[in-house]
Amino acid sequence: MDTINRNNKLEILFRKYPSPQKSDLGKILSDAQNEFGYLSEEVLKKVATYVGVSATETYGFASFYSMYNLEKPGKYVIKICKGTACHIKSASRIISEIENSLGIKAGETTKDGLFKFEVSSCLGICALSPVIMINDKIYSRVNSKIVKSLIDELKSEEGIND
Amino acid sequence: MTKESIIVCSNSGCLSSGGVDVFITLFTEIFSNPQLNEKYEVKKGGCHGFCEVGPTVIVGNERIFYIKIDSNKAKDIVNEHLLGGKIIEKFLYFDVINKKRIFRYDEVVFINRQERLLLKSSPFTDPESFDDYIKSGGFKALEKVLDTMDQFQVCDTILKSGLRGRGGGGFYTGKKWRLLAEQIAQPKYVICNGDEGDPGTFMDKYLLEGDPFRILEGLLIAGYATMSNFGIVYLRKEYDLAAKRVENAIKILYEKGYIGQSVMGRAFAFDIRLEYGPGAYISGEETALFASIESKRGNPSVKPPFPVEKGLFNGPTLVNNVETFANIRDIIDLGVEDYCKFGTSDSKGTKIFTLSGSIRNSGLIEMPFGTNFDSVINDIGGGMLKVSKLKAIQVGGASGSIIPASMINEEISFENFNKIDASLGAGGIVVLDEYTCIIEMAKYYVDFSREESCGFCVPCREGTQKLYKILDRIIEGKGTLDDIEKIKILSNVMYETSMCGLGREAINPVMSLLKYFNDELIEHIVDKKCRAGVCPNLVRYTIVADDCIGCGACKINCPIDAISGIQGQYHTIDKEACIKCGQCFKVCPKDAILRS
Repeated sequence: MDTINRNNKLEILFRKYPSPQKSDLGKILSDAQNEFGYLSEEVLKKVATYVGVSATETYGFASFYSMYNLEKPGKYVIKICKGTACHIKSASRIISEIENSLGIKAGETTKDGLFKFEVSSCLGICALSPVIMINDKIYSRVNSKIVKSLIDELKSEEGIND
Repeated sequence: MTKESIIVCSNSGCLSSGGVDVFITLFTEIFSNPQLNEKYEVKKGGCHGFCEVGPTVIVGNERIFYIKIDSNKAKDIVNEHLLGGKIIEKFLYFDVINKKRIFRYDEVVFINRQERLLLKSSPFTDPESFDDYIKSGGFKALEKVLDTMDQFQVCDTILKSGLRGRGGGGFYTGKKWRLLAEQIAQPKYVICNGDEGDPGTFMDKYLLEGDPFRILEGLLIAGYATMSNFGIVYLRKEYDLAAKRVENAIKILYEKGYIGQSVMGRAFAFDIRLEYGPGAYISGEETALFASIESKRGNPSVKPPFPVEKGLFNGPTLVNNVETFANIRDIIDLGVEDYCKFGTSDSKGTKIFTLSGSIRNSGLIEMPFGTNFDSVINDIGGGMLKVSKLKAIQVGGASGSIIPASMINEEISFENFNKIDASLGAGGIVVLDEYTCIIEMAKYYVDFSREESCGFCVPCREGTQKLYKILDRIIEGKGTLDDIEKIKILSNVMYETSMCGLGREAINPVMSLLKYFNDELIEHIVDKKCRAGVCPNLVRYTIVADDCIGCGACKINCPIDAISGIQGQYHTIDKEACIKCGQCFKVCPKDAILRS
């Protein structure tokens, strides 16, 4: 069922690009990602065949850029800025705090699929450093205690006790 | 009667600290009160640069400047100020240096010490409104260019104005335009490079968020001058708000006939589209940028051929930074002579800097070239945060330099930076205090380059790895004096043989370390000591029992609860558990904590 569903969705998506050029690859992939949330191996292969690029090249392209998710992302994506201004205001300590609290390393997703933790090179809100982003909401001037309580809040919303 | 405006800053800095609620509250409160609705209009404003105190509200023609507003405070403003006619003093900006409340926007030291050209109208202009932009004098420059100048005249005007690329290279913009205009092949492309990724830099983001029409006007003029018909705004995917604003602006301009088959009804066709950078620092490099638009891995390619000959889809292409395009309107509006009054002999105009780090007022500032760090940091920035002393200034992000505090009087201009062998980069300034270890900073930047290296050429890929390892070893306390020599050789090879700027410039922070902070480096290697107290293996914290008053400040601030003790009696640090963050050292009122 899932496969049929997915193929249908891709079919609809491809209609936007009736005669795909090689340079459309990026756009089709990002459309597909908006549709499915991430790019699974099957989706990558389908897109590659449609555009007429080899699957290896498509994977090479998608894995090079940080925008494309090749794994299913968590329900909550926690992104922390590691720019210079955040760095000198102890972002690295907050990073290890989050890693401890979630039990995962940067770039990984928790086993229950709830949290994904990412480190960004700079979110461009340096004046209010340190900054973290949970999904689309930005929290500025945080410290390890605030971050911990934010995560605990999300955890208790999801009914996880630790 | 024109309405007085109430302006809520709507850039991501202010929005992230609650600006959306403030806008909604003010809007509904005023809209539901007919008496106020007649007199005031609530609107969004572009960035005023003082992100530190956001969200801000500027009220009325007098421009009363309220800071750190939330929705409750917004209601107070409506009730007490707008209805009661009384200015609420406690919401005003407090100038800690002169110890007084500042009423008006134009009186805030952070703002009135700046000389603004590009950012002048932006705080009072709604970034989403075309009419507002026209009201602030927009598109006059484009009209003037289309009606009274031919293509080469425009290129020559820009060349005469002495405008140099603001992305870091410092190449003369007029020269680049002229080179593209002389190309015969079509199609030609004009690209606005907004792939801003340098840590500590955010001017492109705020320019595009705060004044998108200005950038598009610059792009249109560039298109006309270079006889090109395609413009592309290349934007980093992470900048959501900027993307939304630019998209909105492009849509409006198509509707109004400012882009399309016939720009402003003249015989000039120009299309602009938005392209997203899928998130790689290297995409800021011209040739890697083309690769990413063409849906290839973002590997740079060898120059020559230069982009003006063979760029995007092998067509002649012009790439300029966002800030460069922002300057165009003013050059045409003011005329070359007036524009050249700003700046020094070889660096004309103004430069936008982003100020952050251990400084009192951080945010976006604009000063003419020729100013120095002293006025940027002490006059506008309001000096250092808390009681710490200035140790160094980091300029230009990962490819920039670290300049010691003793060089605070150096002039900021392209020619002087060449002389002192530093790089201005895109203009990000991060102020570092005594509690920053420069070796750790250098490691941080090398780590950044290491992660962002595309891995295509060996010197950059392997060089950054090796540099990182050496610096890490020194920080661990296992460094030897040979390491300094190794760093020198390695850096030299990377500089000579890397294919693109990333590898060549990745060594800049390390070079500054060797040049200006050599004694600190040797201290790390020989004495195994970190004077800033940052490197965990080289520092130990203990509490001196006789000096401790038992206030408990250290205990509260310890992030891992490694300090124990009863109120009023002396406290102790658990050496096993201590993570050496130095938090207790900073907060102790009696300096009873010893760092060794």
